Amino acid sequence: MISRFRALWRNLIHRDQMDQDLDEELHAYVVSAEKVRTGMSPEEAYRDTRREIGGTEQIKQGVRDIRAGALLDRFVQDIRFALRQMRKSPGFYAIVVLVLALAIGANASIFSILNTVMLRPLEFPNADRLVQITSTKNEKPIGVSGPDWRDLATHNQTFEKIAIYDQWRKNVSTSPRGDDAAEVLVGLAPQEFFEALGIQPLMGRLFKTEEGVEGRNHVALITEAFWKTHYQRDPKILGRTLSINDQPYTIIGVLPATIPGWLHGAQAQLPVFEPFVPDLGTFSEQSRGGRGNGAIGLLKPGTTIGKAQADLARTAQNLAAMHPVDRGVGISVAPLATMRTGDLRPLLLLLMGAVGLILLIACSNLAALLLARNTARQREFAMRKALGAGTTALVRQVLTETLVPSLMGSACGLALACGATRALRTADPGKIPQLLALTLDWRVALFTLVVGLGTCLLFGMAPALLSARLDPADALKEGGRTSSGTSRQGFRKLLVIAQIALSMMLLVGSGLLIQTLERLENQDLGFRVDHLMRGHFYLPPAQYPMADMITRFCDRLTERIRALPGVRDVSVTTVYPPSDRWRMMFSIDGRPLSRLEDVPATIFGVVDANYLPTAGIPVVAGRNFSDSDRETTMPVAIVNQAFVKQYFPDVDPIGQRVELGAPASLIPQDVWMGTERETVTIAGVMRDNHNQGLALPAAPQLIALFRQVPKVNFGFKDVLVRSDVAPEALEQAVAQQLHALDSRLPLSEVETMSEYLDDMTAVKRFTTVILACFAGIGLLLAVMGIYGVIAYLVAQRTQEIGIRLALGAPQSAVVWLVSSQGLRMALAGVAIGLVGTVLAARSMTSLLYGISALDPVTMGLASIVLIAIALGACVLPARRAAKIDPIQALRTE
Amino acid sequence: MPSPQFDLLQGTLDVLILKSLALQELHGMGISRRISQMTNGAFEVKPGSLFPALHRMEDAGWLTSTWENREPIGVRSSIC
Repeated sequence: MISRFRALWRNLIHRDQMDQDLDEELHAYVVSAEKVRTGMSPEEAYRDTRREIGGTEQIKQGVRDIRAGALLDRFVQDIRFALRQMRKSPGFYAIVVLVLALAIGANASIFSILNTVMLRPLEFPNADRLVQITSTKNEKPIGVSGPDWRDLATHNQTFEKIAIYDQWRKNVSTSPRGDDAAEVLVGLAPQEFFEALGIQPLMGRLFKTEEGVEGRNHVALITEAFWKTHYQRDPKILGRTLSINDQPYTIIGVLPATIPGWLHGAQAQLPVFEPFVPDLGTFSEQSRGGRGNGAIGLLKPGTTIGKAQADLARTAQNLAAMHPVDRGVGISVAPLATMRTGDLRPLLLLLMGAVGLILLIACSNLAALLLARNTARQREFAMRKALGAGTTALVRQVLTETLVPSLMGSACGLALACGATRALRTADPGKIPQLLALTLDWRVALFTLVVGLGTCLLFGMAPALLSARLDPADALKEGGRTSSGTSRQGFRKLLVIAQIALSMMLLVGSGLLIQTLERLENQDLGFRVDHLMRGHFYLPPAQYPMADMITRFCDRLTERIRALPGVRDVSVTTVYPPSDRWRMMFSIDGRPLSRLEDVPATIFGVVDANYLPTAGIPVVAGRNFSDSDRETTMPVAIVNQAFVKQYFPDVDPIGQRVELGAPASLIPQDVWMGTERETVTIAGVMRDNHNQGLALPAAPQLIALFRQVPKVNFGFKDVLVRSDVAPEALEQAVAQQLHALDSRLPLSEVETMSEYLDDMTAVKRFTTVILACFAGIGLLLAVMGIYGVIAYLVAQRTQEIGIRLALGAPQSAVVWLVSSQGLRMALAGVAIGLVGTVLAARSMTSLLYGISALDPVTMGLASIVLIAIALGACVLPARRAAKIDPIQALRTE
Repeated sequence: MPSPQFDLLQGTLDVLILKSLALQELHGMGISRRISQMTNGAFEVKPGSLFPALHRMEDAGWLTSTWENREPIGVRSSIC
């Protein structure tokens, strides 16, 4: 081994010396061979020797080939040659490197997004043992309830730590007077939460178990960022107080910036944490049905997720047997990283696929270009073959020639990706929270390198293999045209057809997404979106313990806001389209239920009498709420058409009585209603509006007046303001009115309804824009491909066209001759692309809305566009062909 | 270009060369003559096969070489 290395070193560094030695050695051999021949004249001896030995150059090359380091030597030679080639035609290679840089850069960018959102390990210690625990009802995931969690935590055998947590919007203020309150998402987490994530405080301590109890829980942890912005990094921060919902909390520690917002479904990190004891008595039995909390766990070392799932499922089954409200509720355990991905996975995979298509298109484009160039170098290859280059040597050389621009393209692409990720991180056009941590790490660099080498193979192979199959005699003939020319052209045409097919798929995909976006954004949501503003506030129970105080406050607020100039209508509500998350179990008078699993649930909300007119939702039967519905009159409710269709299909719903909450006969305490149920009478039917997000149809919904159902008249309220003027102009004024009534109350989440709806489609919009860009790039590359082939064809067949023209063919015939080539390629490409689209249709369906993945109109339009563009690419060469001067053409040889 | 004879003889050639050098140093011409002697003229090792083999074995460490001046012209010797 050692001698091999020494030999390698010697052969590479002292190459010239080695060559000289070899020369002398051979010379000595020849001389001694001559000397052996006695009895001949010197010339005869010389000739005889030569004949016996053969060619000295061949011997020398034989030695060089066999030496250690020969491979490297050859490789370096090839690279030098490639660089020389590149210097000779800088324009051509500049285009090659540019196209590669764009394609590889796009790939690296999308991959870095994929990496950040899906592949990179989480930044916690023991990240591989962290899981997310959710309850499932009828296969749909929902949160975990407090009592359930307590039982799971006690009876499991597979978890080292298991923690329930939640987050609530609360009014947080750091000033002593409490008048600079802002509504902030506050995390509610027990010490197990931080322990499971392995988070150590920067200062102070974590919560203690005894602080998880009402009354002892007025301690808070703040994050480093909050410490900086609100306390200027005061070193004496421990022991200072901040007020949460008008209650003083003592700060006991500062957390590092490692808890990501996506754990809580938020954009940014949560700034403040308090111990997990929300006000509603979470761990009492009546809350077993209140599944709104999150839960994470740290598995014991060596436990698999499957085992943990089975373990918890067993406990869940026992719970279901003991508690009727738990029937039909399952448990799901998933790695915590899936929570980070959220529902971005299908979109990311779509983008990854699309950008892969771009790479393929770019590669086939470049392969075609390189093929064309190599055709001109046929003579050179033929000469080499005649001089003894083997097929491997030729192939190796062409591959190396493509390796150099590939690697350069990779490097430029990586640089482009760097810039793109930085731009994405700052611009954040899709409001994707995980992208805040977007960086390029070694995985992306490795990926880029692999892709670069892969493209080298992809677009170097075709020219390499084809150039190696030459017959030297043919190529060296005068005239230069070889029979293999047509097969080469055929291959080039195949490449162009492939490009068109791939472009077709991109075009159809982006067309479908654009239409989906348009349908999502412009659909009738069932209410009027224009000139509508929304805001949110919270009346803390410390200041507003009674429901009627809340009602009075809301009344005074609406009075004040209505008096503002420009306001047409105002409503205080807890619900508005398109997302309504409150579900209430109920039973209909006269329809008794025997099992808890059969109790239906409806989307619920409490509003004031102005809700329907403010939101612009018409009443289609019965009447709207009115000011005469007060605390003392019969409680009324309004349902939507979906509710009527499901529960009163043949009966007039007006006048029917509905009892809110699960029936007392089946469960003594309902999670919202407590022990006493309230009954409402249906007074009207409103028109359906989207209440399960933008993409799902309206579900049954029931709304009541908050003043008439005091049990669920909580401090969380939204305010809707319909204005005559631009809604942004009123935001300040509305906030001021709230502040005037109670200076400690902030108005939060203030935005126009249009902005709010836009945020819902932000991610889809982001993806659609990118996909459309890719489709555009693909089209451009395909056009270049077609143009290249057709132009080359014209150049090749100049003589033939000249003859045709000379013999009297009309110009239109020549134009058709040229264009028909392009048309044929386009048709073939479109057909194959359609097949590809059909095959890929299933994977796209989950991303579409209101349009089928096999929409014929889209496919037809895309086909027409591609064919038109293909014909357009032929125009220039065709015109040039038609203008050929026959005499000139015949003269060139 | 490597001659076909070389490919055929590669393993055998190495052994023959080593055998021929077992007792004394030899130069290139001498090695091929010795092999021809040993095999009673069955193998005529041409320089096209000999030189690459010698250099290959030297790189692998199976033999070493020195330069010597025995005659008015420089000659290469080999020893095991």
